[in-house]
Amino acid sequence: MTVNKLIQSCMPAIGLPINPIQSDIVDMALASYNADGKNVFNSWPWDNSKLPEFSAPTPDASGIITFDITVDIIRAIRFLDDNETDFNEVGNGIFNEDEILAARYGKSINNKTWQALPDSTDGYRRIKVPLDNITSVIRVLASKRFIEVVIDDAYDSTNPTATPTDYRVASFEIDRAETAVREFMIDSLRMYLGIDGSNKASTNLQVAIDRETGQQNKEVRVLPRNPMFSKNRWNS
Amino acid sequence: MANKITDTSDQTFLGQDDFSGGMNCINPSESQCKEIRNGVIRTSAKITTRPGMRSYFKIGGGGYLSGFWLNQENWKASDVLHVGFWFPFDFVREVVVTDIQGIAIIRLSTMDENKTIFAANGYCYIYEEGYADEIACIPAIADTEEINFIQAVDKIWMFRGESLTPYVWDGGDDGFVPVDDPITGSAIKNSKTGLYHAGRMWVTNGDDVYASDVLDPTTYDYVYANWSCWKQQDVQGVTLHPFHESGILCFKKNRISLLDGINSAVLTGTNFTDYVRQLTVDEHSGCIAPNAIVTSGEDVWYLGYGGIYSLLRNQQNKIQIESVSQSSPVSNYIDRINWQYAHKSCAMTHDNYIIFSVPIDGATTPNVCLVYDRLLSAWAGVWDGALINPTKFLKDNEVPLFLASNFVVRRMFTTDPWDSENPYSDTPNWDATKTYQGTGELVYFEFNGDQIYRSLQTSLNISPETDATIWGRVDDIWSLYDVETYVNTRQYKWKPVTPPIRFNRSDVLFRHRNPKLTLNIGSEDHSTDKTLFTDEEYPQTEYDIANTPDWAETNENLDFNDPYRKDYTLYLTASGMYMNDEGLYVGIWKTHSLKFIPVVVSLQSIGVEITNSRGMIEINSIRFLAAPRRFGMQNVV
Repeated sequence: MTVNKLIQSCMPAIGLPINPIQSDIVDMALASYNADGKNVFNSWPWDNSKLPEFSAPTPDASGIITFDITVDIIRAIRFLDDNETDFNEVGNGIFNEDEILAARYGKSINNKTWQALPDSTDGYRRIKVPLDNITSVIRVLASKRFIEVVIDDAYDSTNPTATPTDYRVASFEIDRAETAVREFMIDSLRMYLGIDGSNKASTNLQVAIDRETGQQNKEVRVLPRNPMFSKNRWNS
Repeated sequence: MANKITDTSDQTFLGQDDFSGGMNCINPSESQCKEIRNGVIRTSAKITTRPGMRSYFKIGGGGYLSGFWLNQENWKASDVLHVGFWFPFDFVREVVVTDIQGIAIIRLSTMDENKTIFAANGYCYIYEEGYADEIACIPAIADTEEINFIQAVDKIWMFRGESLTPYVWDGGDDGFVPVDDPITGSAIKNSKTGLYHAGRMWVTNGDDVYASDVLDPTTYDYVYANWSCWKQQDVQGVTLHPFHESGILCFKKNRISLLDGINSAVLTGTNFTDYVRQLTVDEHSGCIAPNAIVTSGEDVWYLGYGGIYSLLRNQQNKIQIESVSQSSPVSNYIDRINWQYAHKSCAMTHDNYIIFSVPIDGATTPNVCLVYDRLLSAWAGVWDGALINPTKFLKDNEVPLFLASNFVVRRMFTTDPWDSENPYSDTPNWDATKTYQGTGELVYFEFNGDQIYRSLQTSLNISPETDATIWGRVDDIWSLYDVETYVNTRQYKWKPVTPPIRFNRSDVLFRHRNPKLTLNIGSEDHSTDKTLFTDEEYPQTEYDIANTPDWAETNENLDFNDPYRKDYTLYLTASGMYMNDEGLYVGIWKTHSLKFIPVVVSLQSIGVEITNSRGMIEINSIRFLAAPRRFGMQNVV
């Protein structure tokens, strides 16, 4: 559902037609989407098995990779062979390490590990990788960053892909949480117009998170494995 | 009615559906608006887009005589020097002039129809229904002369200024010739213009007014038919205007007098001056533009310094001047008049309108029409547009015309909401000698075909095709001269209730034909100024009903007349259009509304600005649901 559709779905709650929508209502709805939607996005329990893959840009001379705006938290890295592009292809995986861990162990940073660096001055995520075993294909698993939507003056309905962040083009990625974002937007709009809010947003968000966490298969990681029902117990 | 701020139970509608009070920028009443541009109020007290205008006859680049007589010097005869050929009849042809020096609508007894006579580029022409012919002027007139034509005693009199001899034309082949000296008496005075009234020709020279003998505009008496108006006081020059059956108003820039009794019979042994009284009408205000005087009913309206004033005849048959200017409701435009060039203003009456064309802001020629509607007894507002620049109004039978500041004669009105049928020929040519200010001036320039460019930056001598930062090429030329209707309402207040008040669901209801609508709300303290809708359009192909396929623009399904389409404005496509014997309903208005909830910071009052930049709109009603707001409470409406 595009953000525009989300905004339109809010209109009955404030008694306005879905088309055309007055501009300050659109402005307010977008402000709410960019704030509350980001909050929903960030509170979402992203499962390890659902982390998206990204291609890392080429490191600079110091081994620093600056990611684009779509990348948030880097979780895993593989250096792949030239002809491999899939993260699952066996390649040269490297581990994360930082200065504090290295100091705690009384060692220098392992030159086979990668380190998280502070963001660039532009706010983009950065890491540092070892230069000695760099390959041309570096794939990462990372959580995505919430992309704010805007009113793009260049929007053209016949060529929407040219303006991907325009609210008439962009969609909220987590479809299960759309109703929660919608309720947040309705509350904001009602407050803007001087009407009491419904305050159903938090409940809706919890429902969505519960569904995400409670109703789908997950890898269960327990150490030691099956401690209560181990073969040793029955055999003892 | 609620009258306490703690009373939250009442609510009301603010707004208006009666716009019959027109425009009043100072203190608009219930039925008035603060500003109306390009609107008329003739249908059920609603504001509607004014009709468009167009050129009266086409101008083009071919030249006045080009292509019609293929003979040397365009002669219609053969001799040693002229050996080509010509057609022995006249075609309908284009008239190309760059500088009309004077123009009038005339009809001599030998003519079957009205004709337009005009002097341009040092020549004199007479025009009728697409055909123009030259009238000889012997000796020739100069192309710098300012000329006025007056019809009197079945002749056309050409006044050329106070230093040049007037000419006269009897309609014959000899053309214009200098006015003969009379057998007795004195000759006609050189004058800027004349007035034929009560059987006499009245001419001015300096501060003096001369009257001819009855029915003899060639014979004058410089002693007993001569009056001075405030001799050597005020700025020199007198403008004459008839006032009822026996008076002539003599306007100077800051003074007015009346010659009364000019229709008297002069008995033998007496002189004309014995019968004519010269009365002082006003010592402090006058008329600053010779063409900006107009009679409407009992009133004479004129443009003076500071406003538009009126004189009228009261019930005692005396002249009476209105102590308050008529133009105070449009004083926001009066204050913007460029008084240095206001002498080029002009006025006319038509269809119960009184129209004054004046230059405002930095304009050196008139660029805005102030329109008073006598049916409403109110100002309908102002009309403007890039091609609305009258310097003189004319009337050809029922058709009002004006001479534009770029010397094109334009016709008022058409039923279409645009001011040009041909933007290429209506847009002025690029002038290498002119400095363009970068304020959006439009010019025609031929470069890889016909092009129109818009001035983006100040430029001189830089032709439009050379620098895209200075000149921007106009792509959509057919929208260049659309009529833009603008309405700024008064501030709506709930008078019995002490603010704060909160506005809730509101709407603007309108009828339209292919509109492009922008709606803005604002409060009088400027704390709120917000555009809520921008360029809202209603496509002709879409329906208001969900899940209905779009209408095919060629009408191949023969369903043009089906109801509930968003707009019924009829535009033919390049592919043409199908039509059955039911035909097509043209001119259908469609009604829509814009609904919104206005958020006003000051919680006191609200006004609306509506701008329609294309097509036509008729504003039916503006409504705001309002309720008093209790302090500290949110959910009150």
